[in-house]
Amino acid sequence: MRNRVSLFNPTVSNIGSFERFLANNDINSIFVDIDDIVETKTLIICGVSGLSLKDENYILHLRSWVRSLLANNIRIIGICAGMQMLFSFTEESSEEMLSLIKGKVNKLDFSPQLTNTFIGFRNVLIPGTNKNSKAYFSHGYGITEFFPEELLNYVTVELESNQFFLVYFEADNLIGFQFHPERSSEDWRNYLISKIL
Amino acid sequence: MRINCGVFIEEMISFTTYKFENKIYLGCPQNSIYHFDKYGYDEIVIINKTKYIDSFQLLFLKILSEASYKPKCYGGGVKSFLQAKHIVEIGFERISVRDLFFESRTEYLKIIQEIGRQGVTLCIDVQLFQGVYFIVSNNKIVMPLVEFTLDDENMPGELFVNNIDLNGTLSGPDILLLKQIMEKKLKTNINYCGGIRDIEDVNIVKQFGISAVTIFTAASTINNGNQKLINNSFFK
Repeated sequence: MRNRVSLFNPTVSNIGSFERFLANNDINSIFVDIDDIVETKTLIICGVSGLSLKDENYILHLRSWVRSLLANNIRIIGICAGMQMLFSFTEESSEEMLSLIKGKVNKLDFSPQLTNTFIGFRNVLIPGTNKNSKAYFSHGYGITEFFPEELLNYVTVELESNQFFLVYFEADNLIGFQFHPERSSEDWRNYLISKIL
Repeated sequence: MRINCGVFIEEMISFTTYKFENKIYLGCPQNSIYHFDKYGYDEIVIINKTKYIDSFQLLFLKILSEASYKPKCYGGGVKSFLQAKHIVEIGFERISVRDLFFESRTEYLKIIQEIGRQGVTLCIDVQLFQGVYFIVSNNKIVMPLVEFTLDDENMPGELFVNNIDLNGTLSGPDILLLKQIMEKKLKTNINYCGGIRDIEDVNIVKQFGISAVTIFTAASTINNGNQKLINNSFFK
């Protein structure tokens, strides 16, 4: 096994998928909780549900812990809701989120479909290439307000309603995937691994 | 539109059905999932016919969730938020609930709130009696389909519409049912299941604007129920 990755489950997440995905790629992982000392180079915030149900004290506590990790040069990778919580605000709640990067999570407009969520695959451009590859999404919200000048690299997707949302970004030691790369194409799984190693 | 495949599991065996009476054994569930993964199915729906979820079942489900990288939905015996949470955390992206919706709306709402509606599939079993569609749960009629509605609070990420008259019959999709469901204009993804035989049937269903179709029997059988572990004709 190569270098280890810490996996953090803030609410309810498919953390087991990540554990297995990493093990299949010969990467050892450990589960960590808030306030744990993190001794790995990378922390992955896994996500299925978001922070909107958590109280202000929990979010303050989490923000302080995650900032201390960044200060120790630990790379943070947010997946799905784990990416959304890295930003400042969400339409789902009046509470401020982790505010590691400026931006807001809003309800997405999937019209002409009536649906409240999108579940399935979209072709998403792999950063640094001209190649699109299938990425698995399961979400109703997305980051529609952000500041491109704060990001080193980012990819957006335009919906049929002409709304754009952020699907991938890098900024200093932060990386976010709005989709689930561990459940996406081999290209995206390899891309995720390249960001971990 | 997603094309999903479904597999039943019971006592560590995977199977599909043909005209209800005939269970067609597919063997080791891990092997079935591994093979489904190789073809173009978008998601794998695993329905557990064992009526309880204990620690042994969770261990078994964890092994299944690890059998492929495809997104997976789990259904069967989910009675509480804690069970749903465990199943998501071992590696399933979505939880399908059916009876719980009618038996304990509080617990259903807790699952929606804590896991997020995108992680929840609500399954309704629909059956035709004297020309009228009814929703059934636990072998009892719950309500006529025409009365079924979902407000924003109860809205799942996906509504799985299962025509149980057509399950395992390979007789084609139920057009009338699809029309009735789509006329409701529910703000959720509709996943249809029942009677799908081949890609032509999938294309018919697609015209109704539904989000997904889930194929059980036809995914692993051809020609009137003759077994073929994987039917990949949907992707040729």
